[in-house]
Amino acid sequence: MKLHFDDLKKLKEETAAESELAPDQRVLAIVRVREPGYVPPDIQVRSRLDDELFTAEFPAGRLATLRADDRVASVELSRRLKQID
Amino acid sequence: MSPNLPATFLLSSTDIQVLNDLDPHLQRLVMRNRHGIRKVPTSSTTAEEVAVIAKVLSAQRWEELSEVKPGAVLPREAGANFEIVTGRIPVSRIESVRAQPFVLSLKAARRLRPVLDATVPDVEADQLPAGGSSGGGKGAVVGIVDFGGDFAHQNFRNANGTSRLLAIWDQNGSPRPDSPFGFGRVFRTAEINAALGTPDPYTTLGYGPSTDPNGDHGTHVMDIAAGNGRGSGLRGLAPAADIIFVHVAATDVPFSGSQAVGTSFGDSVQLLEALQFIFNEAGARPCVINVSLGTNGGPHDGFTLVETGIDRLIAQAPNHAVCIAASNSFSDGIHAQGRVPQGGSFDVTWRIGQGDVTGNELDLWYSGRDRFAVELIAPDGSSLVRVEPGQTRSLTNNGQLVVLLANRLNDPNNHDNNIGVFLEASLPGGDWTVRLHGVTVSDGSFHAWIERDDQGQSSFAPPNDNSMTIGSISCGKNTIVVGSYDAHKPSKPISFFSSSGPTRDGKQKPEVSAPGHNVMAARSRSGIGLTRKSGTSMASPAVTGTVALVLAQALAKGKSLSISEIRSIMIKTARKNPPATSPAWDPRFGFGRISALAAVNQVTASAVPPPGTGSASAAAPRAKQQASKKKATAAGGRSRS
Repeated sequence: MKLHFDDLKKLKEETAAESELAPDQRVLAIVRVREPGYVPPDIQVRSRLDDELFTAEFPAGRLATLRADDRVASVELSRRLKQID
Repeated sequence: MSPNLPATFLLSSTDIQVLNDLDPHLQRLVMRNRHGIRKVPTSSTTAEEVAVIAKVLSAQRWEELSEVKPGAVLPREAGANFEIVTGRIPVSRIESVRAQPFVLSLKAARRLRPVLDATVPDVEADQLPAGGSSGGGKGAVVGIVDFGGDFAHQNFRNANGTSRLLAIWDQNGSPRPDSPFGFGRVFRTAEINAALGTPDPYTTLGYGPSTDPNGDHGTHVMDIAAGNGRGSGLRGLAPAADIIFVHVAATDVPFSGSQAVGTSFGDSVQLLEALQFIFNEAGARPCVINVSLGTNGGPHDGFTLVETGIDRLIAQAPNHAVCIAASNSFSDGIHAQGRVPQGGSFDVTWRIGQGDVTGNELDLWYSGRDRFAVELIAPDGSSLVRVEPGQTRSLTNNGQLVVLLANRLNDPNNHDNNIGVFLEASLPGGDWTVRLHGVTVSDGSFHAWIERDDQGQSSFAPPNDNSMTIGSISCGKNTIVVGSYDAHKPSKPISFFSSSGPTRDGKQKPEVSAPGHNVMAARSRSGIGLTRKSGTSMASPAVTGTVALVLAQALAKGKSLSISEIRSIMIKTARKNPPATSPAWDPRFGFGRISALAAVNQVTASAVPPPGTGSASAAAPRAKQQASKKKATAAGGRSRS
């Protein structure tokens, strides 16, 4: 049901979690590592594009530790792509 | 506007004033379209278009409108200062066409003249010598990443009835031990041929196109690139190429914000895996892949990991290319830019329709040297939340998330800052304001995009800046991005929908353009039939097929082409007028309209080094790729949940 403008003043503000995903939910991502050949523990490599770039699957709870890993340059969750008509 | 007055009332009044100038039948179509109700297709129109009859001051100007698929021009009466014309126009453009000053009247109509296919002759592929060394793409592999590939259509079969497809990878299929990367199902030529010998090849194979009466997108695209015309009588660009089709899938994992519904979609991980699969299957053979996927959001600088991945896959071996549709968002009002002053603010107005039943998402990028705070102001003027640099905040209503604002610093890929605003479907429509506050400013410039939403596209308030509307995965270095023009008209106008470059970091994309307006090509589940579709998705495979001809020509001449050489050939041989000769690059046409004839001839004319003599670029990456292939296979043994 749609909110009315008056309802907007009652909205509760809170600091959001980084992700709405449950920690054990499996996610797909593209991972870029700084050290060629490095694979962070507990993630499943699906497709290796080159020594620094691969697609992977892991529980969403691993996201924070992956991003904190100095040998991981970047983690990009799989993005939904729509058909261009 | 009073904060207590329901916004729907005022907005509806405004809309109906505009519509009052229209034929009531067209008004109804417009209103139904706004509410997501599609018109039923007829034998002469698709679900998205309507047949019209118009009174115009100039039939020529009418036919020049890129929205118009011309029909008949009726004989002018003696002394009359107007002409009666017919045509088909997209439902979404009815009001725009009616607003043209030379259009005196516009009414729903029927009985139209058919429009003939123009792609192959327009790009001069029919001028290539029969039996020439480009050989219709013989020796090259055309990969199609799309939805609904009809392997049974005669245009994809040889004279003896066997299939031209080397493989189909249905990423939605039930996995088998040999499934690439552990998911989906691959059907190779022998299996496809066996299925073709049965009364119901789709059921036999366990894969087939949908029952959409307009035909599936992937079949149409595949035909433009590589159909041989054996069934329909109209051939594509590379009729002798081999084909690999990947029916791309999406996981059920939301990447952010609201779920996308109601349209075909894949996702970025499966796209990369599809490209790697096709290049691996092609092996040492030249290979060009067509992609018709994208979204509106993203940094538009090529630094996303999916774009980095595509660039690297292309560069791993010579004779590889990927063509991507530019996108169809030019007139959707989905891009805004501006400059935030130090200590001041800049308001971005985000217009959400009252009937919008889905969530909305805005993606904003600014320099990593700056720090902006972002404030969200509701249509009634209420300031709901302010988020400082580096913070993420949400608003909830009875425990349900309704607003999420993320002000993220230092993106790991491009080191810029990124603001994401997500409004859930329960929020009222109207003009929302995203106010940017300059906390620390050295540059101050920003760009924002509204994410695509086929169930109710929101937009920035006009006047709109329609530059940088190319798709989110179309900004890489090595891809060839393709705009669309209407080849049926003498002036070859750019298609009204064809998205514009450049990229946010100034790359000149799209590179080229091709016919994408009212293109006739194979209709799935028809065996021999055709259907008509429009979009940059129809332009991109024309370039894909042309690149296949270029690669086949190079193969026949013993040459090897790097991606920079392939791109250079396509760009240098593109034709002008339109676009204008100066400047060299046009933000919608790119460097020009492709010419298959000139591109193939350029292979012979250019001083491209033969394989092995140019550098180590041919051998080393191939070895690296084969090693990666083995690793990928080893990594892939899993079931997909």
